[in-house]
Amino acid sequence: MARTMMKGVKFWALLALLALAILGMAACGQGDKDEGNGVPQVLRARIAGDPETLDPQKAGFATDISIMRQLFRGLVYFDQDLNVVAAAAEEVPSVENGGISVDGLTYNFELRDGLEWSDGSPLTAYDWEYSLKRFFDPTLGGNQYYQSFYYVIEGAQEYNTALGTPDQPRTPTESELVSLRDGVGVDAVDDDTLQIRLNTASNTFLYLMSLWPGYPVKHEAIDSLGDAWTEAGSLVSDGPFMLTEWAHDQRLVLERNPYYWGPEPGLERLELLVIPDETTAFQAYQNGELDFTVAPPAELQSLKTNPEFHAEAQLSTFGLLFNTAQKPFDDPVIRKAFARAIDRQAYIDLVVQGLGMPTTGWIPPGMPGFDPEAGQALSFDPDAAHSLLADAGYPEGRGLPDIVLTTVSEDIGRLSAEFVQEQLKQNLGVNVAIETLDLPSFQMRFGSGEFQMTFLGWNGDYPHPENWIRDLFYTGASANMAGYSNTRVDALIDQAAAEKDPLAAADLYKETQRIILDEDGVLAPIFHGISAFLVKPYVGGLVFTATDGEVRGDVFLASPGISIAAH
Amino acid sequence: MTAYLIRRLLWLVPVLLFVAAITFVLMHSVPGGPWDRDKPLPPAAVEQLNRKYGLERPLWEQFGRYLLGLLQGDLGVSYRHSDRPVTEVIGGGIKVSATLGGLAMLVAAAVGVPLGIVAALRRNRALDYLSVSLATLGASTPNFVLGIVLIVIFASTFHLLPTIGWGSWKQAIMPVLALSALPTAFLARITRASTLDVLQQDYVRTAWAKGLSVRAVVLRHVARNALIPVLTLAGPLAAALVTGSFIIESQFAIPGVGRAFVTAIFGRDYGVIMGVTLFYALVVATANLAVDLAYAAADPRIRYR
Repeated sequence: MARTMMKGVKFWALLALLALAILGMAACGQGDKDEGNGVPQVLRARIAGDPETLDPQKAGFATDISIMRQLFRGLVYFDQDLNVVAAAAEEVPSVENGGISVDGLTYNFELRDGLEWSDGSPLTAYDWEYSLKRFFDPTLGGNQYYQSFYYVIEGAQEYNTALGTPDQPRTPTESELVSLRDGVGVDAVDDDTLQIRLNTASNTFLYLMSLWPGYPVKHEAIDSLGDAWTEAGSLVSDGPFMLTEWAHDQRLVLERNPYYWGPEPGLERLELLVIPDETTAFQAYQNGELDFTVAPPAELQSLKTNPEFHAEAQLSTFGLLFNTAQKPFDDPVIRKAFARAIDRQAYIDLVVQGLGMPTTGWIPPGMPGFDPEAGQALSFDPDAAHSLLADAGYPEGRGLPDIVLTTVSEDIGRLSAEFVQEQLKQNLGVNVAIETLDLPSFQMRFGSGEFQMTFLGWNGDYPHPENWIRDLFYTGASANMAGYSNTRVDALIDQAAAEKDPLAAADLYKETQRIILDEDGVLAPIFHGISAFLVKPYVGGLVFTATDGEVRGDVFLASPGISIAAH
Repeated sequence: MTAYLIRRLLWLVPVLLFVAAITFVLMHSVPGGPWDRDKPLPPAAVEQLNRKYGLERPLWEQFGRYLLGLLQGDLGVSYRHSDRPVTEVIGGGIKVSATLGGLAMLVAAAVGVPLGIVAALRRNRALDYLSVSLATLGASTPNFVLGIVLIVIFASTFHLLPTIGWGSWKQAIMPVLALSALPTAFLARITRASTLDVLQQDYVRTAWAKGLSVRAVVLRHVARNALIPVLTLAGPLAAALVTGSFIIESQFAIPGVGRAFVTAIFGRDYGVIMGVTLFYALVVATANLAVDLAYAAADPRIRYR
């Protein structure tokens, strides 16, 4: 048997050698980085999932928006303070410069000279006309939540809803659809002038035009390639970067677009790596494979003192939403009693590791209409909560029906639900049950208003209070899942939309918010979001705004000031 | 033999049909649909999308249409990824997962089988104890824990290997090792047990008595017979490996089919769910068939008619 022994030893020795060889090769491979004076101006950032689509007229997800902001430019865009500034248009239309008619119904956008697509072909007002009309095409399968924002455009709603509703489906003929399309109030007057006509004057229309649905797409590319036009190599765009690689579920690579009209971006190349797991992304960041990633909540405590750690306020609010159409929350007194039983500061400390600003208000700071006094009647006060509950006819919670708090089965939802459950028990003596659902099930229930109490996290689509008030609290609005209806609120919202003076409009939104929160207690705001992320110290010149998408700093990732130092 | 093969292949049809029907019904009975969003779509828009994709038709009709498409090699489109064909969405992932799982299976076979044979030959000696301890460790350590240990050593500490992505051999090392630990341990244990069994057989004693060399006894008489139970288990094991591991694929950000499957379930992306399930069924059925055929090759007593 001695020979078997020898064989055994040889086998293990071989295995050990093999392992060493592999390690050795791995170590050798490390040196193949670009060295010398010119540091490659490449930024590698994490995205949480493969984009659903990069088609501006179909998209609506934070990841997709972050990427489209690099690939496309609309007629107008944001500056660092989130004011609307000229982009592909020569200047922002106004009544003073004649770009907006005196009645506020007609907008004329003059395009910059010599605009070109990323394939070098000319980009004209006709391309914008095609794109904006395409946005309302009812057969496109676009996102109607966003389409409805733009119904202020003449004929947009008629065309977009041409297929009718579930109860009243309509089957328009091809020619009817064409005439509805032609009826949309967007027309190229000539190569350089785009005219848009509105149904009513709007003080937010220019904000809407700076969002992704206003990005141009190339007619010819879509006609010849169909849905595949968004793939790398086919996607023609007009922004600072162009798409050079899209390995689905793996990564997207963007490089400078030589035909872009604006200043050349500081970055030569932007690599967006699809990494769904936050911890995996964090490890890759630590290992030098990423320059930029989110800070995983589990690591927050140890990261807070790290100089690479950034925390930026977001335009977002998270709160507890009551279904005002269902018992017992059809009574505002009960809603307020619940709202007053929640200790916001404790929530910040315990649930989100300090990453949030406790609040009782809905419109976040940094936005017109922000009101530090809003929701005072909902602030944490267990005694007041108890007496409100007694006023409503349920002293110490006696006689209350069973109450269920419905939430998403993800960490933040579950932890928040457990926290609120504990608070209501402790501060109000009320027992609530928790129901957790996976995301699609939750979205379905939420969308159909089948819940008593749930969490509502709202991220602004555009930095204007209209997006925080009208879409959620106007009677019958698309995101009004609380079933809330108050004629005074509706009237104030209409009034604010028609108000030309921005300061007066902001005051109207403040007043509306007071009614929604302090009088009606539709929801109990808990905190405004802060996003936490890590950036390598060699990345310079990033600018963050409160309206950033999934990739923080995405609004200004194309700025010439961004640089990558030697590392 | 040919008749047997044809019969077995024909059986695949009802098996796949059954799997497809069960999956279809289960998938549609889960609440929620592919159009649910953070900011809910108006009911009219949902209706519009349903009509576009035929989701408003009765379930049996949808299933019929799906099967018709399937016969023509059309798996439909992904509802979540702007109408990309399902074959394209999962095709890339299948290749990646099959490579990753295939490599892990190779490592498992190359390490586990010899380890088991050596352990059996050196029963109750140091090498046996070492092999059994390694196998126990491998079998009881979840692969993501091993993944973390590997990342800490090879990435966080020594910065030798990348932690994310797929494409280069360096990116493959850690996930392959993490994924192969359990099957290696498993194969080693089975091989050891079955080798011990064979070693007791009369014909092995005869072989030793004939004065055959160790190599001849072990390779020709012991290993070949000891491998039959190993083969039985290696088939399903290989099938499980090549169909992708959600955990390992997530941990190392690998665009495999395991990750695509879980994402599709949470997104209610019906076309992708169906496509991946059918692919799984096909792989498992094929692996079982391959094992049965391998029996005949390994054991002359087994004949198929």
